[in-house]
Amino acid sequence: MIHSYAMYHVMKDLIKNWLTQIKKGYLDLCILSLIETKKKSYGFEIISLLSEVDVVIKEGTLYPLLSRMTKDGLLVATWHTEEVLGHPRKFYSLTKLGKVNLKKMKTEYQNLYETYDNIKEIGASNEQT
Amino acid sequence: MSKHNKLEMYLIKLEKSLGSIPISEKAEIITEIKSHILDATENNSGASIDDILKSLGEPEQVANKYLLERGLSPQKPPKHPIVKWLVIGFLGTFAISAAMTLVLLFKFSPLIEVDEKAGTVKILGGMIDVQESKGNISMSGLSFGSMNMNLNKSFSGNFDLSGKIIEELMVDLDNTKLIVENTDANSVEYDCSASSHSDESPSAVLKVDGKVLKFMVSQSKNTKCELGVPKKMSLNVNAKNGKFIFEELANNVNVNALNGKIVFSPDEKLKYNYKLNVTNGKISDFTGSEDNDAFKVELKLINGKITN
Repeated sequence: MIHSYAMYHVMKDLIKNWLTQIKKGYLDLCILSLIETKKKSYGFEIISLLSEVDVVIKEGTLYPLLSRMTKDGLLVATWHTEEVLGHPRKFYSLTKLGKVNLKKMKTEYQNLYETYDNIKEIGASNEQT
Repeated sequence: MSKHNKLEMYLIKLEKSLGSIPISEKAEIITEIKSHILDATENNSGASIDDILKSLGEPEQVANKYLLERGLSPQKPPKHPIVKWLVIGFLGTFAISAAMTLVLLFKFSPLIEVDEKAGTVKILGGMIDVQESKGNISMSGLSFGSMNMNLNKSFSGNFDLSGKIIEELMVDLDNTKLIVENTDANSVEYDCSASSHSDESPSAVLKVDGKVLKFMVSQSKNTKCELGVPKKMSLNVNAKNGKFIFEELANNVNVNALNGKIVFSPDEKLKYNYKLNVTNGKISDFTGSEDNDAFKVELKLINGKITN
């Protein structure tokens, strides 16, 4: 129940902070997964495709993330000039390390979700007894 | 600003804000962001360059994200509008104080004004008013030395030099009109008048200190003194306020004065080596000589005029 306007704002801020924290790792997973599916992709395409599945990422956030993951050796970037009209685009694809990492990330993410499900079950079994 | 200029401005700001990131990586980042902006323009013809840049965020913020992702400390955050207003406020205050200063300067101008006929020196537009003829100074209405004009007393005498080795006469006087002339007698002669602020009568004080004869006036107020000094004897005058006149002297003269007027009338037949200095005021033309036998005349005045 939202009791007041002030409380609504406090909640909004709390949710916002929590979302920022939880999304930090989640976005890495989304981006890497998308690149894996597409084999290679560039910034603008990543933003467009993610927004189609309601994953909102600001371009000001995405590019520094891609840059960091490249530096970490998860991604490799190549400039493509031929197959596109007008201007060059920086395409990212997964490195071997990136692929291994993504696999582990997916497993961990799955585990997290299962753990959360298990917690719900604890509650359910308590009610039964 | 054209679309192209806005894009370039954004990229320039971004490049600057990327701070310690290596130059080659900076170039890569700039090219990629530029590529993104071009993509966004092509794919969304309805969006203006402003919309696209706004969506990207302030260049400083984008740069900070790059820095943070690399574990580097971000540069100072972009200026919040309030900072801009504070700066404007500060500059405004500064401008107002500068204007006030100008007004004050104008009010106190001229910084120094010498009136020869009336024998006055006005400093800071009359804040300090030196009346040489009376040996009197007043500061912003407060007058020094003119309170007891009715108690003016005369005193005179001489100091016989025969049999003594005195090379220098040192004169210490405040608020005085001093006239120095040469005398043919072998003595220092004085003829003074002064007013006293107490019951004590003003009197001359003469002291011998080695080869130096010191001359002072006790209870010195509104003092007027005529001094007769033998030729060749060095003359050393220290004074605060007044008018100091040196008439055709054949002596080395050294004067240090604060406010007032120094009149040095040279003897046409003699040569003088002048060293003159006025901090605020004027110096008349003096014709000096570099000869060894020239008398050394060193006159130093802070506020006022040196004339011949």
